[in-house]
Amino acid sequence: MPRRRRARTSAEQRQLLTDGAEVLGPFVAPMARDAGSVVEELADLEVARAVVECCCQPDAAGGLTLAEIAARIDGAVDPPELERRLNVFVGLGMLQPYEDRRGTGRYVLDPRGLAGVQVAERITTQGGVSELLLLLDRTAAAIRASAATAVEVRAALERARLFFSLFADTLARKTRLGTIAELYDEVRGHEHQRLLVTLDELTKLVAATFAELEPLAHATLLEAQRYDRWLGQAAERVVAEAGAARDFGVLSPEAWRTAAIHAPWERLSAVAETLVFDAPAPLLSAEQLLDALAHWRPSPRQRQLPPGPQITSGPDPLELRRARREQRRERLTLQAESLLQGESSVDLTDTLRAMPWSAAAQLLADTLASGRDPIVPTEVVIGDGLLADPVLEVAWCSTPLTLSRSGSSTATVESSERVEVQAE
Amino acid sequence: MTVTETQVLLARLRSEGFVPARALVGTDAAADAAAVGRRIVRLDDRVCLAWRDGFEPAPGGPATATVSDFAALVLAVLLGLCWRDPAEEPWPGEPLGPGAIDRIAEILNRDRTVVLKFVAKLRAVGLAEDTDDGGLRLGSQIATWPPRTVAELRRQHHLLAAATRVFEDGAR
Repeated sequence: MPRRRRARTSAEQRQLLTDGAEVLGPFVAPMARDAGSVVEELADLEVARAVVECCCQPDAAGGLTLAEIAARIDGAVDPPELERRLNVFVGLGMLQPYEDRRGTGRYVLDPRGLAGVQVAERITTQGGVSELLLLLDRTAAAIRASAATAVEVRAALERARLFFSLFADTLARKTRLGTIAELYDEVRGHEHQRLLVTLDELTKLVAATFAELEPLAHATLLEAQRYDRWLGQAAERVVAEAGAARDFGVLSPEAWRTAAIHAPWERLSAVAETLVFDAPAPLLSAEQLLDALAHWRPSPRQRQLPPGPQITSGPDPLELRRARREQRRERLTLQAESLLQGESSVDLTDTLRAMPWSAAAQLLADTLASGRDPIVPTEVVIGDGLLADPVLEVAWCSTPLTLSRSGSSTATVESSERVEVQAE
Repeated sequence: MTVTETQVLLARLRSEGFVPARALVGTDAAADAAAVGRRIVRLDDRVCLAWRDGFEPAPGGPATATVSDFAALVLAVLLGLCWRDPAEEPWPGEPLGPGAIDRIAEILNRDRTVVLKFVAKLRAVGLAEDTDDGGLRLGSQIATWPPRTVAELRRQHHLLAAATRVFEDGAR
């Protein structure tokens, strides 16, 4: 009894596949004759892209020979390898002979070759997501333009549901079994897509236009939500495992740059929480110290104010001064009245000459002060005569010294105070 | 990669600043430090890392910790007061008594709160330290100065010493 052949595991399958076959194989398989018909390396796509590019130049409209194509690629590809690839392109009709009178050695690019390169690029970078997005957009546009039949919309929805189902299954499989690098490549193919938003809009359009297809649209939406859940889980695994392993390679340089600019600083600083580093010692040179001394000029000291007056509690000194002045004025008035003895005028020459010198000087000073005080009603006039007697203590004095009553005073108290201050 | 005991010790020195001197016994820390442009400086019973001559960061190089001009002036005065004998090493120098802040403030003719603020900055980077009696002394970071810096200051020691006298005289 023949033994049943054991199915290959995904790891075994990956080992058998080359880089190019792993990515492009599922896409090419429906058209391939055998498993070896896919390029082995993804870099071979670059050769096709370079050939397409040089055949699309304006001066290539009349066709290029294979030698010219090889020259334009300019040694970027190994010549034998380039020749082999060109033969494949010619054999499969991507390069069509340009037959004219000059011969058949010239080739032009078949437009389907250009489309093939673009599709291959999308397949390698986005894994079919663009095709699904295109399908959803095209269906929605046809419904809006009333150009779609129910049959066409049903077919489109079923195809979309199949896409979402396959995407979800692929993400689930790679989330469980794939390496972080594979998973990240898969997740990157689904970044920045608006599949769910576009499908949501399409579902609303279908419900409004083809009510009988609403259950199918709803089923497609459920499948899309399953895809979205697996996409979230795949992204979580990438972040968790790659973060724990400090694997910087799982994100593109642009993603790191974006994170460095826009991520919150708390999240950024958390990266260095467990790093050990030394606090930098300050750089200080001898020159800096000596320069600091050389350029320092002490500012001049501030002049210090004298201490404030010590104000003691007690009677107001100005009031005391006024009181003393009134007392003196009263004394001078009484003294003048005493000298006048009721007369309106009296000569004080004899009175002074009869007194001791010090008493005479005091009387003369008081009399002159009463004469100057506008409040005291007296006048003093000193004559031009001179009396001299060496026997007396007052050996000489001017005469007459007349003290007279001056009547009422017209001076104010303020002017008297002013005179008082000037006298002092 | 095998991490040796000496490498761990040097990492501790860089991250903690000091380790006990006895931790170096039996290790080749000096040679390993020299290989990366550092040297080991002994401070009482501790050791710390310093730059080897010619390996210190260039003044015009990448930005690192710096000291402002006035903080450098305060340090210069402190150095002039504490480092009396140029034949000796600047660290530890002579400690200043409890009136150290007032004395520096008097020399610089600045309010003591200003001086206190800049002394705190010097203290934070290890260039000044408090003494037990509330005074001030040079910080242990001065022991890590490159030999060429110390040699230059030794040559100009008379300026450090004279500056404080000039300031004191000029202020009067």
